[in-house]
Amino acid sequence: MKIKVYLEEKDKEEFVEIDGFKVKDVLDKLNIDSGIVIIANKDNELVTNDYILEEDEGIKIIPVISGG
Amino acid sequence: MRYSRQELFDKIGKEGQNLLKKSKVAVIGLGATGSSSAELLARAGIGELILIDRDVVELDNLQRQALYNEDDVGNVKAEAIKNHLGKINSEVKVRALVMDLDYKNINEIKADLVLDCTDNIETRNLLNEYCHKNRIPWIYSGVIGDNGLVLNFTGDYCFNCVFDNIKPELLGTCDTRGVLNTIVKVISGIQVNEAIKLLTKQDYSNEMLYFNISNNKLEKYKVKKNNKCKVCNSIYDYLDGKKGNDIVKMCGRGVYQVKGRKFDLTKLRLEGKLTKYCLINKDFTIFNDGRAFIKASSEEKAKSLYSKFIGN
Repeated sequence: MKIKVYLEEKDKEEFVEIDGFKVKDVLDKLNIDSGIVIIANKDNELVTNDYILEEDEGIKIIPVISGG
Repeated sequence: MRYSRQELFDKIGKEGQNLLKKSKVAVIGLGATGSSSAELLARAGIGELILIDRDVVELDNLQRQALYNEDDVGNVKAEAIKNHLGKINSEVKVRALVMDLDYKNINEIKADLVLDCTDNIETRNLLNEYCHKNRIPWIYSGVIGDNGLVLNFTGDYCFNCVFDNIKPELLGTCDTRGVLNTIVKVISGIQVNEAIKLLTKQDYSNEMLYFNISNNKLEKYKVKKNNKCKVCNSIYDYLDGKKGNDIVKMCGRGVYQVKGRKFDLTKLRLEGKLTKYCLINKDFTIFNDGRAFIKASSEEKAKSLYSKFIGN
């Protein structure tokens, strides 16, 4: 399944081909640890790693910010 | 007279100003965002501020921690801020607490609203549980590099609904990624603006506001409650003392905070500058509440140095 991914940290968009259908499959493909990011779906809603994706859906990968 | 320009703004008016005057706000963390947010709140005429921080002012803070100056270096942040705010707005009642927030002392926070200006996820988890249990709204803020975020928690969802799987040890810090003072001011401004909206009964944001100052982009993300969230189901692991650490690596400094028993600083046989709250030398900062900041390469080394020089 092809997913459009926007990487908030790099202000960059890319397409990713995954075997599964969940957000965690995209993170695994991009070698991004789920413990440092949160994900928004095509409606800009924050979703969990088990969120089920549709073909050509876009998600945003947003770095967690803990500094103050 | 002091607040005339604020009262002229129709969303606040005299009624809103009175609400601010009756409000009590706690600011947790007095670093970059905290020092800025505390100043904005004081200037806006908040009735009472509770300021909590565990740290001392260092030279490299001055780049982004706007309320401090060179004379404050080596002083505890809570006291330094209290002194400055007293000269900015003497009408504001300020209570400054030099402490590391934990499950034993968090009850010191008795406020209408809490502003999170901390630099670590652990404290935010504790704060989240406390505020959820006591139905106190709180506003999360965070900055790093050229990014920052603000998110209000008023009961519909909580911090754990969004951030339950975070690995704090893998997150970037100001020491590894740096931080611009400009994003600090923007995020602090947004945080305090949301605080004023909440306190003056205006509509406030229920989305995560994420801003990048390099490309001037503000994104808004919708947040939903997680029905399986432990905190929303009143399970409070941090508040009950089941989670949280006695040894903490300070935000990207190669320094560990070790907690021990309280003692008399004057009885320590260590060289350094002694103040009302702490003893500082090049390797340690030791507080009279039993905490010590120790330069070390690991937790074990920090514990070992603590035992060697301070005792058990």
